[in-house]
Amino acid sequence: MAERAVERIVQKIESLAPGYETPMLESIDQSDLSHFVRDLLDSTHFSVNISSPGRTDGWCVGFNDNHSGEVSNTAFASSLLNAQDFTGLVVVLEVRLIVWKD
Amino acid sequence: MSGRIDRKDLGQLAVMDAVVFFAGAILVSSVLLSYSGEPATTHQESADSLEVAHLLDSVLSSSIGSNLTIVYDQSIQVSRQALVRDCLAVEGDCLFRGGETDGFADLNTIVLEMLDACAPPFMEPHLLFVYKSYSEPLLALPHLPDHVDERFASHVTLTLEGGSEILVVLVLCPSAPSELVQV
Repeated sequence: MAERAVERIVQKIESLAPGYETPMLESIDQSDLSHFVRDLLDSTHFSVNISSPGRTDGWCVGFNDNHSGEVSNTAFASSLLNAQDFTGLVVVLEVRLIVWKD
Repeated sequence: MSGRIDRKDLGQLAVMDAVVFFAGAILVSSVLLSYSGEPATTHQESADSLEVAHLLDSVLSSSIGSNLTIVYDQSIQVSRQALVRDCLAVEGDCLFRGGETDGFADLNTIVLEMLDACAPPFMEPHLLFVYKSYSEPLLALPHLPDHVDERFASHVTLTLEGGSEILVVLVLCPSAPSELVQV
């Protein structure tokens, strides 16, 4: 489930760019990814982190479903993709997803 | 020649029918067994190979991120937006022509750091340049250990200036035990 979900998130990000262009970081910032993931995972709790591996000064986005309580049946998946900033620098992004049940 | 079929012929036909039926059943069963008996590790290995291919493609399609100088025949200033794929093609061209790659040291450091940062935990990336007609790599960054039980690899083909092709191979090996202790 986590692997399928993270692939859907990557597809959603890639769809932010027209054609086969590389998506812009600004587009990811402005997109409604948290709502997309909430709809995608329904009642499953989640935490998503999107960052550029190995870059300490890098861009990062994170969100979750604000759940607090007991955690069970956790699963993790991640996937890589490319994105570019406004200067034309293309970076590697890693989408990390943790899902769990009450 | 008569069109009549006696009991002996009918018996032979029945035996032949049975033989054909059992042969077909065995064939179908063996095909089904070959699929159902496929070990789960095969699926895992193909998933791992796909992950390595994805890692290699992502890094090759990204920018090098730092302005640097490559020394190859003459000094070449490379901007931080230049793609890793294009820079490695220049290095591959150098190797193809039998040149030394000392002038690419900064580039190699950057690429290996990127691969290391993006690789799965406890896996060490190795980048190889292989020309199709040679079995030994022209360059291995860093040197690939000989005795590794488990490794995953993927490659891309880069086309050089003259139209020749060179393979860039990414191999992921489990980190050495000493490195695991440090982690």
